[in-house]
Amino acid sequence: MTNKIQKAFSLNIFLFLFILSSCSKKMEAYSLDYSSDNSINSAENIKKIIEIFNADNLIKELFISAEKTINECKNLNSIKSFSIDIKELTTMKDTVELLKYIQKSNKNYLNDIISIIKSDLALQNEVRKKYSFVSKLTIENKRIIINKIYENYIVNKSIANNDIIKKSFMLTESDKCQDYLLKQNDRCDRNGTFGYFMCFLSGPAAPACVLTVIVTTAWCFEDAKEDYQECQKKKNI
Amino acid sequence: MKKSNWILLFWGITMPWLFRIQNDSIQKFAFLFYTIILIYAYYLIYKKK
Repeated sequence: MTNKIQKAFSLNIFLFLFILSSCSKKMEAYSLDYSSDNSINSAENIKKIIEIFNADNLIKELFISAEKTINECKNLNSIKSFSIDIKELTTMKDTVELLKYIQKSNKNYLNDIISIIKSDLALQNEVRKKYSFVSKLTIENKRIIINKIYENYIVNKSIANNDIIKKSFMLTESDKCQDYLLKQNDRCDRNGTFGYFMCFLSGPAAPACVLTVIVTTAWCFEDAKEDYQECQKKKNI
Repeated sequence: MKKSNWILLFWGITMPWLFRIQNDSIQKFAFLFYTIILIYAYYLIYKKK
């Protein structure tokens, strides 16, 4: 009986490795597919950042609007008084906090931003296949960009253009979608890998188990993609 | 086919679907339950030896 079990396990190890190697390309294709999606999305976001922040006048308008926004919030005493939903409220609150920070800064922001964006794009081309790393780095770089703006700009005027603020909201929302997609993809990767190893425990049923893991993992990636698209749609609304 | 093999077959095919459970506490409970099933299957295999 023990010999039979040993033989069954030996066969399973062979089948497991065979199926794993033949399916790894399929899984890699999924990862790369999302990689390219993320890269495109990151590139678009960087374009938006350039559009918004590279134009000196727009930046001035954004920062000009800061003071009035802050004053409005102060007049309302509590930020909860705004007649907007909680999601928007949080973004608004964050933005106001960020704008307050901008008020205390210096003006040499533009060169820093451009150099950071350029380095980010170069890194994307260099390590494009490692999607999660690139995307995380991009998000991190966006935060660096925003921090740089806060650190390096002074505001001393009154409000004018709400569209600029809306654009800054869009960037924040986009980060949320991307963060969520990355989390979902990581979860799918982790579950898929863990699933393969768990399949080894199922003895004679290992091949069937591996096939099921492939199906569920692929489905997981599809769900993540759909969630991401829905998030983007909501953001656009 | 022996009972233990049927159990392992059931375990192997249904286990990956546990990863699709979104609720963490339910997922933990399900994995615990499946671990017990697995232990029982191996118990049946080695008991007969």
